[in-house]
Amino acid sequence: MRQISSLEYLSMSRITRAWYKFLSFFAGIPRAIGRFFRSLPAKFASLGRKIGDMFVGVWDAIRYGNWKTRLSLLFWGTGCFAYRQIGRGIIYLLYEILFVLFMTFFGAEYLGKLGTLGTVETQELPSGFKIVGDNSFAILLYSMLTIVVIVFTAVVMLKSLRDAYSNQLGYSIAQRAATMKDDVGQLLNHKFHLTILALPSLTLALFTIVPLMFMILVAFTNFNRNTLPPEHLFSWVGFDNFTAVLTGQAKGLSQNAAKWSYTFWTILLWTLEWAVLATVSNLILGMILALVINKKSIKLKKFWRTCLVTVVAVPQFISLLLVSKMFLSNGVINTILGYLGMEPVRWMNGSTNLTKAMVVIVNLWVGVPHTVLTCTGILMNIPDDLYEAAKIDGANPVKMFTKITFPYMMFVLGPSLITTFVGNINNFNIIFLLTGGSSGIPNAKLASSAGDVDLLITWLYKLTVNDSQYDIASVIGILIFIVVAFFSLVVYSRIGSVKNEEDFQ
Amino acid sequence: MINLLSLAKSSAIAIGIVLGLIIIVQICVVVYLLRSRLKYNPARVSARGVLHVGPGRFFNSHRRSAKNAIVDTFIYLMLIVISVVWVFPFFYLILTSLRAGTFTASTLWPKQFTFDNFVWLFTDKEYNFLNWYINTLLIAIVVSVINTLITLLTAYALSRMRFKGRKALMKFMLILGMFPGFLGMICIYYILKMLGMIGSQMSIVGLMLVYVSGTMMGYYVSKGFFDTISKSLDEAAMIDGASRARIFFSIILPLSKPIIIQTILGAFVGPWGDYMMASYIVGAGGTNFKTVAIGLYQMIDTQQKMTENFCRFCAGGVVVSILPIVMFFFMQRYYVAGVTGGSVKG
Amino acid sequence: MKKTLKILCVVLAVALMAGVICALAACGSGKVIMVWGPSDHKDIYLDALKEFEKTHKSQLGGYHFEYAGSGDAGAYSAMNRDPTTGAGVYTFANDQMANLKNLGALAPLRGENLQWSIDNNDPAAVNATILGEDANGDPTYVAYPLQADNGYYMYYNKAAFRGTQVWDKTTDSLKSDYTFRDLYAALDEKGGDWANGLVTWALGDSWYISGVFFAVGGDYSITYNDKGQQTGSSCWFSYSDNLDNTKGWGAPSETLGWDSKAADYTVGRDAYECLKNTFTNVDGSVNKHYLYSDGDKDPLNDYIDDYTDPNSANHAKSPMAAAICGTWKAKILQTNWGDDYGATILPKLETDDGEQFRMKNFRGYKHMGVNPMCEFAQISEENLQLLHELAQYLCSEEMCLARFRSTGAGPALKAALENEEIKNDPAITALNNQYNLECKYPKNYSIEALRGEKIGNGYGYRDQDSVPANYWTPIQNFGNTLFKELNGDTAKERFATDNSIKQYLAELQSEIYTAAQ
Repeated sequence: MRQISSLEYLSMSRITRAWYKFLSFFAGIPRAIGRFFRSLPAKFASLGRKIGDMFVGVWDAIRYGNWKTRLSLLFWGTGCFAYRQIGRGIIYLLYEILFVLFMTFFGAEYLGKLGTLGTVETQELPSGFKIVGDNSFAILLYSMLTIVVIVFTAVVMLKSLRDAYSNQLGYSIAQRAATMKDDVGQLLNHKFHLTILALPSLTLALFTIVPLMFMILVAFTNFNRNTLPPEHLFSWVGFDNFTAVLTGQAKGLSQNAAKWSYTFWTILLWTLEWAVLATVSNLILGMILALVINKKSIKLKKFWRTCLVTVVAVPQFISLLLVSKMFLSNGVINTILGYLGMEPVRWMNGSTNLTKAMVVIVNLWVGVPHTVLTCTGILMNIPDDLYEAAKIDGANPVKMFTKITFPYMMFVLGPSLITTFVGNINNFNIIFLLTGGSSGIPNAKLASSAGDVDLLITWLYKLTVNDSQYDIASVIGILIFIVVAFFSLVVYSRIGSVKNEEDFQ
Repeated sequence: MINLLSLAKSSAIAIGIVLGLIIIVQICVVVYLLRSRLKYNPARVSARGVLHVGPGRFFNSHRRSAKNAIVDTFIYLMLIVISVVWVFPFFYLILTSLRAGTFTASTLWPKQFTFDNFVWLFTDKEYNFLNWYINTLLIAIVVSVINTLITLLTAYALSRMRFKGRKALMKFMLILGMFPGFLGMICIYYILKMLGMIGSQMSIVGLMLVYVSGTMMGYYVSKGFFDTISKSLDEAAMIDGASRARIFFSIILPLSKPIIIQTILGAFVGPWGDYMMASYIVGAGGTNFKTVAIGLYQMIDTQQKMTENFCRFCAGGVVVSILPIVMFFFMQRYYVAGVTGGSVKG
Repeated sequence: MKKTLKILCVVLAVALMAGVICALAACGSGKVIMVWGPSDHKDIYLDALKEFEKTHKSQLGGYHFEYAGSGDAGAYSAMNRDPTTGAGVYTFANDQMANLKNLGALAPLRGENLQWSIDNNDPAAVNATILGEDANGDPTYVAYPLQADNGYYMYYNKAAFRGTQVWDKTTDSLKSDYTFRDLYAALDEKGGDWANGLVTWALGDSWYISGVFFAVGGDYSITYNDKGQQTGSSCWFSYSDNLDNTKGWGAPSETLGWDSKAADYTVGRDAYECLKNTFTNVDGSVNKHYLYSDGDKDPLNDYIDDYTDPNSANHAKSPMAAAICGTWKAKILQTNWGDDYGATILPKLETDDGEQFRMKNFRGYKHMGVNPMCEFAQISEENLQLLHELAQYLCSEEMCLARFRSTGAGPALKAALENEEIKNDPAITALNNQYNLECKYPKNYSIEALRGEKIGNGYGYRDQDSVPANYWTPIQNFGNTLFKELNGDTAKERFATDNSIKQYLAELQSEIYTAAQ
């Protein structure tokens, strides 16, 4: 993409500028990728610096703090009590007590076993009675929980120290320390974000971050159907699972590693193909429909839209299942074809390619209504005066479309296109509910659970829920993450709204 | 033989009649609409021109030409075909739900119509559909209210307030959202078990918690919307002494009707149709607590039950779909505006 | 807006309250022992559990039973997530037995319980509950036999075959010696409505195809220890496990996998020819009367309903004349076919040379297991014993009869099998006839001397023990490929060539073999 001077840029009309921006957005992607990787070291460095900065303040507090401040390191809240912030002091102290109790009765026990993931095996007495031993799963999970709690506690501890130190400084220049009432007031005003974000962050940590840490670590264990706790123990195996999936070389694994690897790469390819096909086809049809429905002379706009939107409203597990029934060999579609004198077609059980095509088509059925709604909204937002001006200049409808409508839509839709793309990579419902991941055409080279139209995400589901192959599944999960993160980060770093969010206000 | 042939013929005719009727009605509508369009009526046109400002202006010619009429006819035909294609599965869903006897995949038009499937749904002891429906409704309402609150508040904080770690938090959530969520399902189950939220009716709270837990990460669209609301409003209010909380509730919220409705809809439909997470957390095969998705799915989880219960499943599908369809129908206008509000900003 | 907000708050508050109340109500109901079984037996089990609860109140110590329909096939996936919250007593299909034991979710039978199980049940079913050996070398029994009916046989519409060459006038039923091709010919002979009549068997479903491989002498063996872990395996499904493509059909390679008998033993080729001849004409084209189906994409059960339902479009076009399936279709076929409903043993298979084998079925069982990991059993050994008693009680004669009356489930209990009602049921009769068939190698079969006279166990079934995890996929692939290749016009020659079929068989063999390892 040719770079243009700012003079040239300024001489463009508004719409041409938008179109130019849109094009340069995509043209810049390769460079952005390069930049992203080049900037990684710097990013890590700055992260390290930020963490370092946190401790610098602490060091100051310890060095220059008086005894009250220093004692707060041991008994949190001392610095608050000393300056009559009773409420705050009590909260700190209570938290400390709770934390100590948590560690003694819960955290320490599990954290201590993290290295081995448990050693006591489950015993069966002659009567058949089970004496349950260590549970590797619980050890790993609760260790993660404990680590999250410890990190959070460290932050609270530092905060208490900093509070104490700033109280001390404020006292020395005769400032009144903030009272409980002040604190509460702040929580609704300048610190409103804390009030807002506290509870959601807690659930986020508990139900997203902890499981995530857990699953990342599982990729380094042999947690699978042969080692399911509480009957069995599992243990650390290092990078074995990664080598198995990526290269097909298994070390000390009984699974058929070459298959894991072949399956992964095959499915990854199809996943990317699918994501591109699904995104592009959706966009094209959605845009055409939106334009057509919103054409001024077309009546019953709401009716047409409602016809489409029904799909969004009906739960997918019902609508997709029904559609899959319609396309059975003896299904309704074939019956109708029969009445028209045509031969029945094996829509989704005859060939891999036809099945893949059908999945893309049915995806249109599900996805286009969304696109139509979005495009409708965008069309409504295009300023009328642009068209008026164009008309005065004698532009015909086609010209107006290519020069105004299309560039404008693409400008707005461009970034969300990538989000859709990423969403399609992880599009579970369509593939799973419609085909179950297979077209019925056998492919002996794939690992047992995978079918020929499986996406990575559906294969992952089968691996975890049906096969209990958590170790391999975790590896694949991490790899999916890398693929998705790669696309998203590159794009997000180029989206204007992230970079210059103030522009629009 | 004759009997069988006539059966086949009559069902073919029935299908033909239904599809034919739909198309004829639609063509009539189109012809009627076009008839008025073909007459030149400057007063009406200009009046409409004033009323309809906005989309698709470039198509709007003041001269009514035959060419336009042809284009429109073509478009109407296309829309008719498309709407038939889009609605056909639901038409089929309703037909199947009204079918007497067992499901046979090859037949579109039921030999006999009956409401038995619906009656069965609400009266059968083994499959307590009403109970599932209430469970799901409860979960969906609570979740959609809480989720909407959380999403909007998070978006507000990230859009309007400037605090330390804001950008880091946004990036962190972005990255977090890229992991395939259900990898953590087994963990989520054990965490809920630790919290005592597994087993029988306790699962309802557990499920709510799970659906609510990740909401924060969905701030994106709403933040885009809030970004478009002028900041001068906030500043003016702040000068008048309003707190952040007050600004949110009495200034921002009233301006955000489209995005509120869109968020509510999204948050409602999510738990309403979720099978994957719910079935794992609740332990689909092992308890009597069910949501509609789990319950309906279990009605047809073996080949044998599939043929036995499929019509009932469809009846359940109709009942389950009614509420979201009604919601979407009435809130469509806001939904369009809401989707755009966010997507303008990516 | 304020009003809306207020309404929102009220809705939220009400909903939350409702949620909490529900939860509290649940808490008040005390501690639960789950019992899992098929959902269509719910009423039967609920009554029995209520009865048992009444008589054992003191031993239950505040616990009560709750029944959930997990389905026999769903037991493993439900138990898999967490055996400690799983059912105390549950039913399961026997191919999951090793997996369940490996989860720790099956308590071994001891003492009186074991004696009861051995004394009162069908010996084959009792045998199927054995998993490995304990330290003393004694077999470990890990479950109670519940149903012994998980096999297949043939349903047929009497109207379709009456008066044709396969018909036995004296008994007004199908002759016992018939092949698939005989059936097709009979339909042609009958004409009229039945000129388009269909015969279906699930060529794409590994459970059904396995029967053909077993019929010609193919087999696999897997041994487990008493923990449910696989200790050894072997299989013989093919021509040889070391194929030599340079030699033709007649000259298999010298190395043989399966207990190394002698040279010209060709399971793979026999199975291939027999399979092929179930749905083709002599010229190799697919017979128009055969309706292909597989496990899930062209579902057999779905077809049977569709092509026999008098209201269906497909039935009008081409009615179903015969279908190979299990007891679960008995009810619906009885309804759809009425007086013309019939059930019989499986057809004979035929190689290209005219050697005839009797098709075997793959006999599965349903067992009832006790979970020693569940909360109640973990409390004390007495509690575990109580669960054993419950399992025994749920296997009792009246329960067996109730299950039979509800869904036609065939029991494993001797007393129930003797019951007149069950004895006279055509489906159960057909199934038992199939089981009791003698299976010998045909007289003109060239290697009779090498393998002995009997095929496998010498009867019309092969016990379905815990198959290796990966067993089902490759064999299903084989059947699917066979049909799809022969059905396509251009591919016909390709698949039929020696090398191609050998390739497929070699893949099948190595797949099952590695799976078993």
